[in-house]
This record gives sequence, C-alpha cells and structure tokens, in this order.
Amino acid sequence: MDQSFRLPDVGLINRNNKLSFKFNGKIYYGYEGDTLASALIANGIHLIGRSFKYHRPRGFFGAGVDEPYAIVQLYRNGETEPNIRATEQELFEGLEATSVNCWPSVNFDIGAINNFFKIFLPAGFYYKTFMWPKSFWYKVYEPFIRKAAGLGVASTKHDKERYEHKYEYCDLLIAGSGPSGLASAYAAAKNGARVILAEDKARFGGTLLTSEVNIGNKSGKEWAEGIITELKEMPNVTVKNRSQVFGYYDHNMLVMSERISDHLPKTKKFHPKQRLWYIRAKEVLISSGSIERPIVFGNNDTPGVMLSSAAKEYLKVYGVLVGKNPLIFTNNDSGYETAIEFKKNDIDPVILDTRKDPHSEIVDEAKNLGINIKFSYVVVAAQGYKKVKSADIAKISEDKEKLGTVESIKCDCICVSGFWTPTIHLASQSGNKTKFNVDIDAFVPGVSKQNEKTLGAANGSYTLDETLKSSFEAGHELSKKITNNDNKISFPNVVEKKSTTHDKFWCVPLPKGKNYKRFLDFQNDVAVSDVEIALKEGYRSIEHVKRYTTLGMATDQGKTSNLNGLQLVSNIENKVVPNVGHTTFRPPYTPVSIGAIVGREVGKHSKPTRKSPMHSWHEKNNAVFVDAGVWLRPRYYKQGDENLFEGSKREAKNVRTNVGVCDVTTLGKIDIKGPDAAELLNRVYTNAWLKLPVGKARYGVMLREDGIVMDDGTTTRISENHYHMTTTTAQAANVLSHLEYYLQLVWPELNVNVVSTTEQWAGAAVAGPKSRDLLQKLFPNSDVSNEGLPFMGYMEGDLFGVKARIFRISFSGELAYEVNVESDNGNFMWEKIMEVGQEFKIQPYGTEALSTLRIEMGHVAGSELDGRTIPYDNSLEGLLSKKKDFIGKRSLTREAFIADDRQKVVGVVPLDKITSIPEGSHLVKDSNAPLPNPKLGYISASCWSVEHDNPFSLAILKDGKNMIGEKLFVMSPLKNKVIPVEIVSSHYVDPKGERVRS
Amino acid sequence: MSLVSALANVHSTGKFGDHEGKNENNLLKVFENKNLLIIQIVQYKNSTVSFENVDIDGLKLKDRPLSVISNNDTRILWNGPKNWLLVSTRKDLLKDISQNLNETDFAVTDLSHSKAIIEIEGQDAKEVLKKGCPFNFNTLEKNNSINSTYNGIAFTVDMLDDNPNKIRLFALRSFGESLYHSITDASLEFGFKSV
Repeated sequence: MDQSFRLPDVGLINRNNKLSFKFNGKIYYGYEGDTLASALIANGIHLIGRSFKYHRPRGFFGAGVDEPYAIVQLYRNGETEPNIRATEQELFEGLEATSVNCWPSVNFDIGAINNFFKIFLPAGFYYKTFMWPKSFWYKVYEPFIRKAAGLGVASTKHDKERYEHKYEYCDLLIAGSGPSGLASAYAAAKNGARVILAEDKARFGGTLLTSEVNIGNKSGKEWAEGIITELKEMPNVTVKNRSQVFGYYDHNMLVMSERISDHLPKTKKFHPKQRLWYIRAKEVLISSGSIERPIVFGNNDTPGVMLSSAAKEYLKVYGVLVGKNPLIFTNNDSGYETAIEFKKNDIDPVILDTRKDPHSEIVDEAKNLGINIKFSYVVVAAQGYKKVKSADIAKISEDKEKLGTVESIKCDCICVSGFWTPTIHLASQSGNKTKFNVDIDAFVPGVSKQNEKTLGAANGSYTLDETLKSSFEAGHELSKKITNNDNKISFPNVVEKKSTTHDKFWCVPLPKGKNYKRFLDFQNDVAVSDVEIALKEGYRSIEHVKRYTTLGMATDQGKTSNLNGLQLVSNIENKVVPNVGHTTFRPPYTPVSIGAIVGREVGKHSKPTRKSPMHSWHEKNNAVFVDAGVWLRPRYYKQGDENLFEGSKREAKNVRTNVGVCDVTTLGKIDIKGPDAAELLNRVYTNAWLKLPVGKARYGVMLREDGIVMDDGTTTRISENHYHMTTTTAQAANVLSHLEYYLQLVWPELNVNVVSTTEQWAGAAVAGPKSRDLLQKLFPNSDVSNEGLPFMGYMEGDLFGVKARIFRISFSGELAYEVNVESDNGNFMWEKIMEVGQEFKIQPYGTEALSTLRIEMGHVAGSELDGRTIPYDNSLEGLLSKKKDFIGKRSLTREAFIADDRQKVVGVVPLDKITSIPEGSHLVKDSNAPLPNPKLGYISASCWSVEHDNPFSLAILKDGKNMIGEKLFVMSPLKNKVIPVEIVSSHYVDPKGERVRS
Repeated sequence: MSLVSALANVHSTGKFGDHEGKNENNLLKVFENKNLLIIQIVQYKNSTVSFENVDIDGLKLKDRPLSVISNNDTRILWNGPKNWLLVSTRKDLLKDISQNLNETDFAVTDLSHSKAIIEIEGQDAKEVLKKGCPFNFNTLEKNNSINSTYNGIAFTVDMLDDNPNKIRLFALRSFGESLYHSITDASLEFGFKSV
C-alpha cells in the first residue's frame, strides 16, 4: 500500500518533500507537514495499538490533543521515548515508531484474551481481587501487574538532549491561534501591546484551516496566513508555534512547553530539544477552542470510528481520506461539514442525524449535493474487529428511548459528532469558577479570579462573526488598559454558513438482548457499564467515580470523555449536570517531558556548588570531598590505598604530634561595624562583650528566642567599632539573617552594619604542638610568642608580602591559629604554609580529622547544637551572663530547662575499648528491659580517639552531670548492636585546656 | 606571589557553542572581570549626615532603587536603602573613601575579593539571562542594577550599556564556577567568544 488514501492536490503538506518512516518495522512514506497519524492513515493503516485493559484493537480517534489512544513508542536519533501521540508527532525522515501494549504484535496480541474475560475485569476489579492467597501478592500478582501495566517503555539511557528554560514577560499572552487568538493578538499588537501568541500545532489558524468561511474577502486560511505574517514582523510580538500553554498558576504566571526539535530527525548541536517558558503576563486571553464530543454507541472504540472534525482535518490539512465509504453520525451541523468535504472529493458519505428535521444552510447544502441523509437515525453498534466493516443502525424514537429495527450498513469508517465541549482547562486552573451553559450542555468559564478572559469556542461561542468581533474588541480594550493607546483597527466582513441547534443526545440505548461495550473513556477502557457499577456500589461524588473507574485519568484527562461521563452520572442520579459538578482540572493540559521540567539542572550541575580559593590545590592533592551544604570540603587527603578511617586517623594523629593545616574558609565570617556594634554583640550573645579589648577574640554562644542554642563562634575586636564574627559553616546565612532581623525590626535604634565577608577571606587553621614554630617562620617580623600573641589574641601580619590576619583560636584543642588572607591570595597562603611547614612534618587535614579532634576534646558542634539543646546541655552554662539581658534569656527559666536531671553532654567509651559506637544510638540502663526501653540519651558524635587509641563518643544524657562513671548500654536497632559502655567526662583529652594556652 | 582570581580555574579563551558561520563581531562575548575595587558603603540608620554631599571620584550618592551612578572608572550601584556597592578600577579610592566617610556615620567594607565577576556583551546577552533568572529583563535599562538569582545562585546585575547590551554579573566568589558554567552553558545556543 503506498498512500492509497492520499488525495492528490489537497492539503497543506509539502509534496515536494517525500519522507520515509517505519512503523512496527515496516517502511512507509509520507510528506513533510504530515503527522505520524496522517501518514499512517494515508497508507491505510488504522490499527495503531491495543487498549489499556482489554487489549482491544484501537485506531485513531482525533487529529491532535483530542486523541485518546493512538500512543506509540518513538525512536529518534538512537533514543526512545514512550507515550507519544501519533496525532501530534510530526513526521520526519527516518522516524521509527512501534505500537504499545501488545505482544507479540498489534495484529496478533496475546493480551486480547483479556477481552474474553471482560466480565471479570470491570472498573474497580483490582479492589476486589489479588487478595488470596496472601503469599501470591509478592511472588505472582505484583510482578505480573507491574509487567502488564503502563504504555510503552521508558528509556534507561542517559538523555543527552538539552532542555532549557526561559523567563519572559508580556502585556498579553494569547493561548491559541484560532480565529479568536489571531484577532485579539492583532488588535492588541497594533495598539502597541507586547504580545506573545502561542499555538500548540505547527500551523497557525486553528479551525480557519478547515472551515469554509470568508473574512474580508479572503478564505479563512488566507486571512489567518496574512495576520500571522504581519504579526511575525512586529517587534512587539512573539509568535510561537509548537508551543503548548499547559498550566496557569498564581499571579498570572503561565507555563508553556515549546517543542523546538521534536519534528526534526536530530536536534541541532548546542540547541535545546524543548524549552519551558515561564511567562508572567499582565493579561491573558484563552482561545483554546473546543473539542468535539463523541456520541456513545456500541463498540465505538473500533478502529475506523473517529471524531468527525478529525476526519475533516485529515482531509483538508493533510489530504488524507480516513475511509472511502464513510458513515457520518451526528447530532448537529458539524458532521455535515465533514460529509460535504467527502462529497467534494468524490466520496459518497451517508449521514445519520439524530435530529428529526433540522433546517440550516449546511443541511441544505448537503441535500443539494445529493448526500444520503437519514434523520432520526442512530448508530447502534460498529461492526468489525481490527477495522470498521459495517454499522448496525436504527431509527430512534422522538424521546430517544426506543430503537426501531436494526439494519446493517456497509462502511469503512464512522465519523462521530456529538457537538462541542469548550476547552476550559486553563481558565479553571486560573481559579475561574466555571458555570454550566444549558444551551451547549457544557461548562464554560465563569467569573475570573485572575486577569484572564476566554474567547471564542473556548467560551462556548460558535459563530465566527461573533467570535471575531468580541476578540478584536478584547484585544483592543486590554491593550488600551496597558499602553493607554487607542489605535482601533477596523473589523473585517465575515461570511459564514449559519447552523441550527444541536440535539441534546449523547448515548445510544442498547437494543434488547445486546450487551455491546459502549465506551466513555477510550484511553482507560471505561465503559457506560463501569460507571453504572460505580454508582451502584455507592460512589456518588464525581471525584470518587473518576478514581474508582479511572474515567478521565492519565494523559487524556477526559478531553473526549468527561462531559459524557457527567451526563451519565447525572442521568442515573437524576440530577442535572451542574449539580454533579466536574473534576478538578490540573496542569499539565497535555503531557510535558521530565527533561523540559528539569532544564539544565542536571548531572554535576544539578545544584550549585561552592568552592574555597584553595579547592584546586585540594583536588590535585587527592582530597576526597564531602558535601557541607553546597560547599565542597576536603574530608581527608587520601594517601595510597588508605580508606577514610585510616586517612583521618593519620591526619588527626599528626595534628596531635606535629602540625596540621585545615581549610576553614567555609566558616561564616560577618563584618560588624558601627558605634553600637559592641551593644549588638552584647544582646545577641549570652556572655558579656562591652569590654572586649581591641585585638582580642572571645568565644560566644547565640540563642534563639526560645532558649535553644542557635550557633557558636568566636568574635574578634579588630578596632574600636569594628568586629569580626565567625559562625559555623552551616549557620552562616542564618546568623546573618538573624542579625539583620534584629537590626531592622527590633533594634532600629542601633547604628550597626553587618555584612558577610565569608568570601572575602580565605582561612587556614594551623594546629598542633609545632604550630607556633611554623607561624614564626611564616611571620618572621611578628611576635607570635605566647606573650606576643596570647590565647584568644589577634594580630595582623605580613605573609611574604601579603596582608594577613592571625587569630589564636582553636577548635581542635591543640595550640592553634587561624590565618586569613584576602581570597585571591588564598592559594599562595596555603602553598606557603605547606612549603614552610615541611620542616615540621605538616600534613593537611580534612573534616573527618577535624571532627575527631574536637570530639575527643569535648568541643560541641552541630551534632550537639542540633536545635534541641540549651547551653546547660552543652556544658556552656558558664557563658550565661547573670548581669545583662540577651536573646533567649527569659526562655531559659522554663521549668523543663531548669530541671535537676536535665540532659548534659558526656563522654562515652565502650568497655571493650574496641567496638565503635554508631552515631544516633540510644543509651539505656538495661539492654534486656522490655519495650519500650526507657531512653536515657543518645550518641551525638563518634570518633576513634587518636589520643587514647580507642573509640570515643559524645552523648547527650539525662542527668549527665551525675552519671560520670556509670555503666550503661548503647543500643542501635538500625545496626543491630548492643554495646556496654562507661560514661566519662566529655573532655577526654586535655580536660584542663592546657594545650591551647601553652 | 600570584593572585588567583575566582574564575581562574574555569575561564578559558576561545569560541564556543553555535559560533560557526557567524560574524565574530556579532557573537556574544564573555569574560571575567577581576582586580576591581569593590566596597560596600552603608549609612547608619540614625546618621543625620546628608549622603548627597558625599563625593566619591566625582560621583554623588543617590538613594534611588535600581540606579547606578558612574564615570569611566567607577560605578556606584544602589544595593538597598542607604546601601551602595562601589565598583572601581581605581584601587586608590579605598583610602579616599575611608577618609571622606566618617566612621560614626558610614560603614565601609572592602569586598574586593569576595565576588566572582562575569561580563557578557552582545545582542543576546539578555536572552542568556532570561534562561536562568526570573527578573523582567525587558525593563532593565542602561545604568540599572538589580539583585536576583540565576539558576539558584544569588547575583547582582549591572547593566553597563545597551548598544550593544553589556552586562556585568556579580556573585559570591565561591559560587563563581557554578555561575560561570550556567552562563556559558546558556550562551552555547547563540555561540560566544570567551576573551
């Protein structure tokens, strides 16, 4: 078959560019401008896949987003993608696609056996089955269901395509380029507004491409082309095709997915395949049109049954016949337009009109063309399995309840038109409270909650004249509101055929003795009988009916099924449709790829990273990095084959015996200046700050207002009104915010400026018994003796021509200093320290060794200051001033905080001096006590004490001050460990603090 | 002794992205700006001194949002109420500023080493920024400055010129490599020359 259903000289495709493609392994041909669906239909292919549950043969139902089940697995440029609608995928040379949900082939599918068991597989069957025997669930049912579920196969390969984002603003965003979209865009743009016009399809114009209308003495198509050409040339207009506005969010933010390369065999290098636009518009016009509604009848899912408007689109846009012996089944005039198009192309359709005696221009035209029309007739059932071969038809009574004698009529396609359902998804997402329009039996937008308006068919307006008038007006008025211009354009003359009312009929009754499946939701295999069962079982709310039956779920989201479903529910419940309501419309309107949502935040750059000025040195010297928030910090410097434990132990030992250097750039630094700087410190810290001398540092603890420790650090007085505060890495931003909050809102009378200088200074901690010797070599012109630079002292020095700050502070508990230089000099400083330090056996050390050193010293850090502990718990009660007020002071008087047996930080050593204690373990008195075993405390931090050569931990323990010497048990259910331990002082090394003061 | 700038490890010269067949003069240009004096100047809330009388390198401070006051060497960006960021090629200005601004009325803090600075120049410069920053760049004019985020990284944008667009971006130094990657990655589509 070589495009035997392609009409010569009809359509908008490019016949100069013939394309080859493969479907289910077979080669076919189409043209540039085809969709995969139109190309397949041109080649006489109607069997596209198998239905989700029953594996019934399925063909094409729509021609665009209205398509519920022509879903394929697409292969492009070595990649594969599931769930592609054949009606939306543009054809390109070399395209490959396969059917889904069938095995071994779409023609012969083993899964079709489900159809014979359909009485056992109604809606909700899975709530009543797969329960017995219990053991079968994991071994049989779940694996089987997982295998059977889903449509298509997700690729497991890395997606190498680029996907990008864009943030854009405009005065007016118009979703849809049908007549209302074009008219409003044109009027607004001419009036100076900044306009974005978005069209989902490749071609602009919407229904103007298929309608026989005349606008300003041009055909609808010509008028549309002229408008688009003009719009594209205007500098204040952005025109986008292949772009779907799929979500409406708060504050008039809409999101649009632009398919840049999906229609090409390959994406251009460096260019994205798709782009996600975040558009904030002052005003939004929704001209998303309507979707034709099906009429429900028996076997209405047979390949060859499709929407009448789709058949017309295939003919007029793609030059493709969906059949050569068509039957048009309609309750309104739209079906006649399709029939007339068939007739013009020498095909003789038969029209079944449910109405008794309609009169309109279109009906008369059909009659005049000699088309066979049967009034008050319905299709009872389609016949055929893989393709429609005939239809059972019958006359229907005026009350639409009784069928006459059923007769058979040969046909190869049934084009159905049950009138139109406005596409109100975007309006609903914006918060618009929709209302029911009884004239069209559908919901339309009601009161707007945001700056949006719906026009044209999306608003239930089906006459072109009225649509264009209101759209020109809307575009002008909205643009005038924004630009204050008043350039009104003249309204063109419109000629269109007048139509008459439709029949409010949507579902053909079953003839006696027949049990045809009448499908409501084609994608999810939901039939009339399924909804009836749901209601019988007590599911009354439409939301429950939806979830129990899956009506309107998955990628289709009920585009062709929702309203018929509502009609059925309202009939059974004896309610009117508005009282049944509708389910919530949620974005996206059509599927959006995960790639487009993620954008460029992938791989190594899925989140920003922060690096110190010495980072490249660390990399070159085998640092193994750890994430500290978004900072990358060296965890240890690997030598040979050593692991983390060995490396960190080596480094920590070297600090205790020689000297080590650690990159401490990441610690927060806040520059505090102002006449009231000391007063600020005095209020935020628990201890006293007003008399700190210039050139001295002091350790401070900051509390939250509820008394919980927020952060700790040292603050140094650089000069009279200038302080340098340090914070932990994790709390740097929080502390700055905390200070800003108080300065701006609580103490605006204080003249103080705080600014982060974390990045301004590169910092190195030099620690160990030989650190002073090293420092003297680094600063030969400075007196860094114990007298010259005492503990907690500060001075400025010259590091071989580089200005440096030297703080004598220690986190490791050893004699130590922190050297800061301006960041561009960071690498120089580090290399100099390493060079000069060789004499003293210097080694760099990372966060793991740093942790070991502070744990065995009993210095609290983040794992103790975890948002639950107060100063007393951390043995910091000595820093609480009794003389002055500070943030959190009052909260410390709360009953729980002053209890005698309050928890406190202690040291924990395993009795065997070998077993490491997992962090997070619980401390209990009796390991054999029945559950729940009373928890006395928990392990906050663990290390291998390099000083004592055994495991050591810190813990927060109830009544800790009285528990020293006690024998307890550590229990870790996660690690399945029970370890007998002894409670010791948290200061396991140098309890008197002599080393730091040496 | 050599200074290592924020982007020294990642910035390399050359042409990148979709540049082939394009006029080199029309390509985006990306480069790292370094060795600038960057000073935060803040007037204390209760100071009664008129900042309008302050003269820095011939420029007067203005407390107007988005505004940038500039001459050939120096630009003063409004950073908040009575809060400015001075950026200058004149390193000697720090001494002048410290002398002219009384420390009981103003806080002057040197931040020269705390920023990574990327300049991007070309017709598509704003399009690059639109890819990662939610700000409305259609309204950004010459001598405007804003603070926002680019792919989650806080940054300051200083619009130096608009014919063609020339934009200077400041981020915290430690984020420099990540920002550089984001900006150059976003520029690939247009083709750019790294100088």
